[in-house]
Amino acid sequence: MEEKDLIQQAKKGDQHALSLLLQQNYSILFHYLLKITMNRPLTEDLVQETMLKCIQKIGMYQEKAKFSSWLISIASHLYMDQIRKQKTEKKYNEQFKQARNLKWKAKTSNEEWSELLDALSLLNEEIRIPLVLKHYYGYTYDEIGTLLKIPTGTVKSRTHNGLKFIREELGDHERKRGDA
Amino acid sequence: MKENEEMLEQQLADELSKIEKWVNAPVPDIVFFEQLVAEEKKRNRQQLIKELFYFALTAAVILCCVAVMLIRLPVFFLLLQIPVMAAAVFFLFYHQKKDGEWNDI
Repeated sequence: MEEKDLIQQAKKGDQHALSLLLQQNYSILFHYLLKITMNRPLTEDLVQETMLKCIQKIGMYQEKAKFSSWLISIASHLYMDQIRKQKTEKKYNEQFKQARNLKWKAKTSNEEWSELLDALSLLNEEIRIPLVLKHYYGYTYDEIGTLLKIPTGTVKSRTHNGLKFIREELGDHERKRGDA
Repeated sequence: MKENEEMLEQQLADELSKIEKWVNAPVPDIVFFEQLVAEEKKRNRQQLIKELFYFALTAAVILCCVAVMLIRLPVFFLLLQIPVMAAAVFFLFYHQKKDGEWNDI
């Protein structure tokens, strides 16, 4: 059965169709959240929350965009809501913990944690999310604006600022390496 | 300058794709999803019934008060219609302007 048919069935209340939809999109959702949170336990919690929200709101899904994009939209809002609830001080501590968590994973996979990912982990999530959506998932500025419910101009400036920050951070690393 | 920009964007995409390799995320069995859907739907149904009960109870209390007021204090009842109408207009206007949070993208 195609995704479109599954969506129709799920909207009519078919629990098996909705389960299949969630299963088919689980991997996309998990990896998207992992990239923006850089923290596995948090990703697992948010995947669960996103799926519950999807079960509640499936009747409201209007099929204007792909089902996975709808899930990404829900997940992004849930993550940003959670971040907003945290106090600023705590947030920065969390940010470092998040990066540490994935750095360890990189080490166990015999891969090197790049300076670029370091810079990305330091970015504010309001900048990191549009940056990942634009340069990894290939969404247009307009689509990201619709997904995150922010103006297109804001998306452009956030992705631009994000890239600028990463470039500066990489430049700093290069300079430090040169000095040493 | 543009080449540098494109190179950085490509580098960013490459580094992000590595994350998927580091963390293995096996997709759970369909039974897990079916249980999740069934439990959540059951919880939502119970919540809906609870909310409908409270709504009906509140409506009954309000209607009783209105009926008593209409019989005992008809002038006060008529005066009350003005703020009620104003609140209804405000609510409708506000509700139309506000988009549903999870409507669609």
